[in-house]
Amino acid sequence: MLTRKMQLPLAAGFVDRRSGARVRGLIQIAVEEHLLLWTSWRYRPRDEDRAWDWWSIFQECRLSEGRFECYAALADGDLQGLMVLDLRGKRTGTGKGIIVDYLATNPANRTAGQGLKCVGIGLIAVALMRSIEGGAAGRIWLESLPGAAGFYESLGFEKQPRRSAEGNMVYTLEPAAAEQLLAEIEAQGIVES
Amino acid sequence: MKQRINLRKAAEAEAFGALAVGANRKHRGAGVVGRRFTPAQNRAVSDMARSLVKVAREAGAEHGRITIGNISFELQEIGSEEILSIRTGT
Repeated sequence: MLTRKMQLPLAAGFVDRRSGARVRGLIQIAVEEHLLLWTSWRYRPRDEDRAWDWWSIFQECRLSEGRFECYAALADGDLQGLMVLDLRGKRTGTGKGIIVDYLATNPANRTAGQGLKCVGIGLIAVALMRSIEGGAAGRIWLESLPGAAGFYESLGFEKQPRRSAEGNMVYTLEPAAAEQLLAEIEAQGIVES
Repeated sequence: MKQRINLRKAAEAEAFGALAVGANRKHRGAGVVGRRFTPAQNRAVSDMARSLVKVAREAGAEHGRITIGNISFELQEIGSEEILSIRTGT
């Protein structure tokens, strides 16, 4: 069984979409300063998360007595992504996994040929590490927004036959795939453990 | 069905941006308390929100963040929506 302790902040290596150059970044527990940076995110009308109020989500994490954790991905002096984990978890096929409750990248990274990539992968790596650290062996459960199915499938997540109560697709990651995924992410230098 | 891991493809797919939304979203969207308002309170809140948008526009908040007292405002128009950002204690 996988065991390891995550060291935060975690060094990350994102990729500039235009030049392909590696951009050094960090992933850490979010603080108010990061949420101030979130106020500069400029959403497009079609963005599914444009109504998400990260201030409220962040405050709820702080009041949750350890159930929810909010992580920020930072690079180039800006906030590149945010993620919330629910450590109470949910059953996957083989055991209990943690939930990726919210995950979004800066809208500036959503245009082909612009911004940074690998931010979402880096945040998923943190979810994997947190799952391992918490004894869930890398298991993850999440609801995917419609446009993100390809992202999760490319990471080895398995689509579940039943949708969530809200009609979203459900994806899970089991320990063997989690171990392989984390090894590949680290080998690519997207996160350094 | 087992999926093959392809980080390059995943990195490109990130451009969709909002990637996951949680099982608790429904409960969290209404806020911590989730208080219900009476019809009269609904009207009062709507009127107050419209007034704030109007004041913010008159003060120039459409062109950037402005500060009135120790409250700052910024007004954005996206399509048919107007989004008023209010920060206290600035």
